[in-house]
Amino acid sequence: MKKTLIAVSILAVLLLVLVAATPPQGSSPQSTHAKAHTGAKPSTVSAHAPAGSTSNCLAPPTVTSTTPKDFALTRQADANCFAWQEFISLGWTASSRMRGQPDTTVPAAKIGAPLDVKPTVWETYKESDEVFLPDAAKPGAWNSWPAGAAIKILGGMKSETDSQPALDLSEIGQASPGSPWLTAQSKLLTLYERRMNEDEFNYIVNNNLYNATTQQTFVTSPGISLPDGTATSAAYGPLGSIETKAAWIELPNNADWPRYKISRANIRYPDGVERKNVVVGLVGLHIIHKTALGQQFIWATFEHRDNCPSRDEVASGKLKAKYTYYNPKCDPKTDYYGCAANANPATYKGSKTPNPYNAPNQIVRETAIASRPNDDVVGLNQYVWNQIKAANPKSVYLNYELVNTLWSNQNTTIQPGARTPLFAGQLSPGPSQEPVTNTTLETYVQSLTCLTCHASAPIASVQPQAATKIFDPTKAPAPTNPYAADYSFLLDNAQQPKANQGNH
Amino acid sequence: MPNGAGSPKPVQPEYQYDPQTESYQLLRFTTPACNNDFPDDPSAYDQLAALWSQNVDGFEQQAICGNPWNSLYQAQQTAYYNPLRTPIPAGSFAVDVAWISFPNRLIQYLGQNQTPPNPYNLPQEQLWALADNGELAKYPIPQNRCPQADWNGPLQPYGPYGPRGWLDEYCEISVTRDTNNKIVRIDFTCENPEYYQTLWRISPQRVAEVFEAALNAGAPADRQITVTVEDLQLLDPQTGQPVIDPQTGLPAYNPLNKWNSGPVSVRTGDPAQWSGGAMHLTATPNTLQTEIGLGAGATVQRLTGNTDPQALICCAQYGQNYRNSDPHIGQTINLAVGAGTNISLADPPGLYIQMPSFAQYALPADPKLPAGAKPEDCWQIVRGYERLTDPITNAPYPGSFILHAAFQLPQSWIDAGVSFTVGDIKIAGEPIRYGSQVLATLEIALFGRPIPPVVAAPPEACVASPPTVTQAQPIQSMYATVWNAFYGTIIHPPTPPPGGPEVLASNSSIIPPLVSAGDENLALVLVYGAPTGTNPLPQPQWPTIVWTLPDGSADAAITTTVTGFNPSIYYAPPGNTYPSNNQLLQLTVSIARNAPQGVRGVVIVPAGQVFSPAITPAPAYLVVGPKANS
Repeated sequence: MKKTLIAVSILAVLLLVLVAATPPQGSSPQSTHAKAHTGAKPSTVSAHAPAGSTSNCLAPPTVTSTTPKDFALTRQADANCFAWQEFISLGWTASSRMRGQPDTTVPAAKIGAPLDVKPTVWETYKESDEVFLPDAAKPGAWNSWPAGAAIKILGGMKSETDSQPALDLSEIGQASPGSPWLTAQSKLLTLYERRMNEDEFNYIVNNNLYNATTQQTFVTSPGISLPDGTATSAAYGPLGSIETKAAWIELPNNADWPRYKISRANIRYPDGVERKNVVVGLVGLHIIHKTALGQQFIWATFEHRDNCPSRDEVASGKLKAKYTYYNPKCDPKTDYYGCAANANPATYKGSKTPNPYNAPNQIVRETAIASRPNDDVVGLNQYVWNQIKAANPKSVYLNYELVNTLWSNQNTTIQPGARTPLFAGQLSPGPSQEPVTNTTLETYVQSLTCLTCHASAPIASVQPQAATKIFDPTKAPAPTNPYAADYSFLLDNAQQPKANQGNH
Repeated sequence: MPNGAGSPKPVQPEYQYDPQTESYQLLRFTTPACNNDFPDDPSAYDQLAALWSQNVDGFEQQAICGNPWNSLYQAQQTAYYNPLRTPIPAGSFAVDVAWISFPNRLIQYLGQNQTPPNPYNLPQEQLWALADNGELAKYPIPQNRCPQADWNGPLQPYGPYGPRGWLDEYCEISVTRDTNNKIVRIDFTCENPEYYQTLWRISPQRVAEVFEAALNAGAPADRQITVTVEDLQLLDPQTGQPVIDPQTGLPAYNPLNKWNSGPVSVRTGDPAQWSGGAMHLTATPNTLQTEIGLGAGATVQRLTGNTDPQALICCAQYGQNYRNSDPHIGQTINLAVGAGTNISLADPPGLYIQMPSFAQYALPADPKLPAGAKPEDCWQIVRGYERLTDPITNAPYPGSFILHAAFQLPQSWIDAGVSFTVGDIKIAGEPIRYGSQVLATLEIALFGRPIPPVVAAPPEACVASPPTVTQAQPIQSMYATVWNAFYGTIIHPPTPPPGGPEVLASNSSIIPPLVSAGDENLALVLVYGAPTGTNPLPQPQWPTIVWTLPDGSADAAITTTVTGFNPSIYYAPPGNTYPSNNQLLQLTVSIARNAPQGVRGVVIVPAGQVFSPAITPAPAYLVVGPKANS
């Protein structure tokens, strides 16, 4: 059954590609005698044609609102095409009636329309704090809007109904040691949000996994295995689990707005007092998706093209005039971090020395976006921009690029009771090839790769019950790693019901 | 010879275009990577190309045939097409299937944080060392690998067992170190052994020249070697004399010769003692015939498990579990067919080294480095090409066609006076102490070409053994003199096999022997799997042999007498990972003067049975051709 679903989903695209394949341009053979050669003499060629390249992925990205269920073939090229198709479809203007669904009345010509603050599909996914509530309260229905002072107002859905849409972007710490922050050259902090799609939401709610206590038993039987879009998880939805993590920057200058996917946000900086409504621009986006062929998830990450230069570009002096996170004219005498590239603000000058939030970080991309033949992200970016440009020459998505896509070709199902770290092997790209990181989300750990950390994602911990016995070390169980949460750090946010919380 | 390491320009594949059907017909398989080892001798190249195409065509037919003799659900694998016999619609593009060339079984069976966990838990440093030296004798691994590796069941020594057997991702290396034991060069090869066997048939001298040119490419003057035909020829293990191949009248080829054996190249000390190099694959599963067979086997849609590479390889029983390569190749091909295509390896079929990712390489800060020097300057393509244009689409293939590369300092850096070696270059912050560190940064790939389906592929059950085996499975045919030398030559790999010595026969090739019309009383051998297994058979129970024409009928022009039977031949048939017990027939074969030239199949008719269409001929087990050098 699983195979049938995949085959059906791929078949239409593949046959279309194969049937639509056109004969070689300018090389139609004229001769048909027995020793005729093709007109195309094998030769060495340049790595990138100006039109870009899909590296012959079976489902080249198109400007459509349909989110793909899986990649067509277990190839890097197909993973990259899948990633871009997700970015396009999840970046489609969202339905005003149904969270997580596209507004199919919006034409391709409106893809990424400048100055459009309407939420996109992924922005109407459930924010983590909507799902994991204090005292393990049951979350509202998928289409419900938050209410009450105890629940944060999140912009994704409020924007559907309010004249003053708002995002809550109170998170500033990155997922690396010390929770470092990232300050743009504008001296403004980068803000983050984490969301999940309806399939994952249904899985968590239907199985009471918003409750940390439930997780403790569920993880061993039947086991925490987020939906993958196959028949076995059809009860939760057709797509499989999707999570997003976004990085935003306040854009006080409206001249910047036409180049960004923008949203209205209600924010409060850690050194500020009042919340305020601002316009923010998207600077980074992770999309992770569990699929039949991606049991270790397929990890795609995108960035705004003006974020920062690569280390190679810095070395060669091929720099833009301005970047969001890099100052080409940085002066070590006046720069707080002495223009040190990727200085970690949580540890710079020692972890006990508080560093200012408003000191800009000088960020460079440690690993240039891949362009080798087997992972030609540069070529695919160009190809997709051409498609977007043909639909909407002013689309803000022309300013975003795929950084890379990570997946495991072992595709191992996680067994019940698995403990951290989960399997994170046979990755593509390999760990000795290009680390897959985002300069706005893993700024200071760019040598790592997504699964380096996510393999250790635990289930939520619970407070122990009051001790009733004297501790006997000879009978204590051997220390073990925590149970694993199927690579998702969201589940760790679950709390216990108040009655179950321990007294110490 | 202008360029012994390969031609500066790729040769042109030969297709015939049919404007009526807008399709291309391949006229002959092209030599690997479109490389030409006879750029100075078009006639010799034509001979080579014709013989190569004939051999590959045989592999393709064998792959599609599968195993109808002693296995169920593994035959008539027709969703794999033979491009020599199937028109390719214009515009049908090729797809790369790529995998990391560091052997994943070392990680899976010996490394940390694996599923299922192993008892060794070795750190990365030790895995690098083991990948370079193969000292694996103290690390037995599970015999039972399905549905997952079973560490509670019986264990067996880590294989494959050859001198580079553990490098089983279709990429092998040989590391050269200086007197300080620092790496100065790493040779990488993905060339299949069948090509060198074929090239040797055309010209042993050219093989020697290709070896010498490739292993000296870019090497400093004080590390240049001389390779002679004598270095490469097969010796009789009893007499030490060259074994004469009846096909050519010349010495036969030794695939584990002194310049292509083991992971170490010795280029210090007495030059007379120098040895080592990596010119073609030697791990027993690293053959082109196997790769094509795997490709065909993977096209079969299974009733379950198609999305899980481990489940699929357990079900379909192709290749070896936990490699980066086999399960991944199988699943990708399976998915392509499941999506409604037929598929074949794109011409030129082969395994190809891909450009490494240099993202995590760093050069030492040496003031004498030439301006603009980059780590990738040390990656030197010795044979093959970084990019080729696909004649069907007139667009670049999505990958590289590199056959042999060397990682070493460019001569210009040495001339500039740099004070470091390869061993001082870092990858992810670690100095290159092992060749395998570089292996982890590059991929090997094959190229498949899906086309709209010619033949439907209904799903089948998992491969299984029939309740009763009644037929015999042909495995390999060869001239007896050559076989005897191969089988009698004992290899001493770092990890010996459990059931007997490792023999050179495991490194032979599934290439049919050449006979000629009028030949009489030729001594051949046929290795096979008898339905009676290793049971001794009295002469009356020996099978009979029938050679078949392309239409499957018996070729009355060839008479064969079975003159001997050996119930236990312990070796890894070329393409297999582990040795097994097989059977061998000694044959005396005579060819009528009027026998038409061409490739023959073979049918082994067990005693008590008769030749009939009920027994599928095994394709390409004998070639009737012109006399040697005629």
